[in-house]
Amino acid sequence: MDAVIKVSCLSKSFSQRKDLPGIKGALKSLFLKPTSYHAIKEISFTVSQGERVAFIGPNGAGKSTTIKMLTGILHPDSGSIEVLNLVPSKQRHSLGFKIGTVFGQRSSLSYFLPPKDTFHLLSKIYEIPAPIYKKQLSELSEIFEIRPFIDKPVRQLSLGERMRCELVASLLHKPDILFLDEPTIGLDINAKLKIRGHLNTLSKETKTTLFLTSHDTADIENVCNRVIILDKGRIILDTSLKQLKKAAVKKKILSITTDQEKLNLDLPYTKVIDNKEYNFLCEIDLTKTTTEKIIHEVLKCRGIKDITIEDPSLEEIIRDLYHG
Amino acid sequence: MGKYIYLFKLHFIQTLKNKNSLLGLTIFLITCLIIFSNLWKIAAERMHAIDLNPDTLLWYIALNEWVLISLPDVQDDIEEDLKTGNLSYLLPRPISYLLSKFCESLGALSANLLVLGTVGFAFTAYMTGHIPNGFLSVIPLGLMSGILCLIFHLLIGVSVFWMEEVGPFYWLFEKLLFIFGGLMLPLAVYPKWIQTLAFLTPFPSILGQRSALAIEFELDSALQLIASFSFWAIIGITALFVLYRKGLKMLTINGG
Repeated sequence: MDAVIKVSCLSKSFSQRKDLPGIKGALKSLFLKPTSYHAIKEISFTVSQGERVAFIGPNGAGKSTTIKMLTGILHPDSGSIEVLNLVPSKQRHSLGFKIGTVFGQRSSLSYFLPPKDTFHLLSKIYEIPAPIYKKQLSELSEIFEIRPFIDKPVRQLSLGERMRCELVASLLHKPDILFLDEPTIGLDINAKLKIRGHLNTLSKETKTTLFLTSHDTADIENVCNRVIILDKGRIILDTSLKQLKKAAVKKKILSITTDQEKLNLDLPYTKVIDNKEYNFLCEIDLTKTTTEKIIHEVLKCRGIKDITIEDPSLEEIIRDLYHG
Repeated sequence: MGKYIYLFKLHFIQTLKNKNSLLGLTIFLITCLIIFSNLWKIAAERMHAIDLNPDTLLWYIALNEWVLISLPDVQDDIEEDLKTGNLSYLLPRPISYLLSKFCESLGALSANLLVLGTVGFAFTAYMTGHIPNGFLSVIPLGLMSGILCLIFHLLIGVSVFWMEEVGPFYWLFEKLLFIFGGLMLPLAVYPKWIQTLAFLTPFPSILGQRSALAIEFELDSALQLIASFSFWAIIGITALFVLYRKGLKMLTINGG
């Protein structure tokens, strides 16, 4: 498949002025020279058309800086970026017609007006011919189920309804790439499920490339098929979601239900998490042993009623990766 | 161009739909008219300025306050866009940020001028019992001075790229406008040197001169006023685009 995003050896640094505490510090700060802070350090990656990429990392990892460079708001210090065969820092205006952005904490909708009015405005901004706009709005209204409240003022909409309208607003001009920054932040579980479902439908039906940043691992698990993890300005992992779960899992959770209130079991290379009220829970260290060996040991024990082996959650896997 | 016209239209409608805000502005306008007309009446008596007719004064104040209160705080919007990072969301759109801000605020200004003009002038006509002879020149001249003010407000807004706060600049601009524009007191009351200084600035044409012309219309003075508006508008727009480009360059290099 064609690469829609090509990033090569991209670096970006900012000059920062230190602010020292106290009156003395404040006076001293006036004479301090700004220091350089490297936000992005020589990162390279490509994204193919239709891919659903989770671009994640802890706060301050450089996610927003990268997205700003991909959309042409920030200019890189070195390296190259091509998005849809355009150089964002030089062709931001042309690129604007081909990409969409949704930031969970920002709104593109006018607060006092119904979403339909903003959609109409966006059709003018993106120079969408009227018949195409009508067709696109009708299709998106269907996918995102916004018909019941499309004529209600935005101030009367729930956060979930508003976010669905935000997504429609960002897709009216049929962007090839959709940049999503925390699209489910602040939403309840039902609204989150709906948004994720809609994004999946959209990706399947239109082959829109999704580039998502989120701290909610369920967003990543349910929407994306590839994960790029950024830490301190460097890419520490770039792999498929399946591979991430397979390769990065260094432990498993073993859960045993027994007919004894407390199980007297000493398993090698495991860490007991819980052992009371007929339940035994432990973590198996896969770097030192195998699940097979542990099961073999467990089966020697009497009174076992049920055994469950689970992978740690994606959140735990990612947390472990952040901590090296 | 269609996108900018639609933006203007949308904000015109949005301002009209924001009834609470319009009600607040209208109450403020009426309060200002009552306070200032009384204040000026006392000032005129104490200064023995018998030629300052109370009815003319009320119209003069109404015409000044009409534009001043109608002006939207576009400088605060720009400050907020930069501080909250909203600018990163708006810049990738295929539309000029600066022009879109201008059209949005022009839409809001026009709606405010319409509503405040209707209520304010009806109130003033009721209080004075007459309508001044240059009243028809009010609408285009009011709009022109509003546009000029918007350009200066945008200029103050753009200063946020360097200053991070627009408050101090705006405070200074507003006070100079009040004094040199002839809102606090008519310019004729000030010493000669302050009057000369005031006429070197755009402020008298934005407020005092325009309002005086609406009360007593003269074609020569109207043309002079339009020339003054155009002169200051060209200077303002040039400064605006130069500063905006410089600010944007700074933003794309060192972030927000």
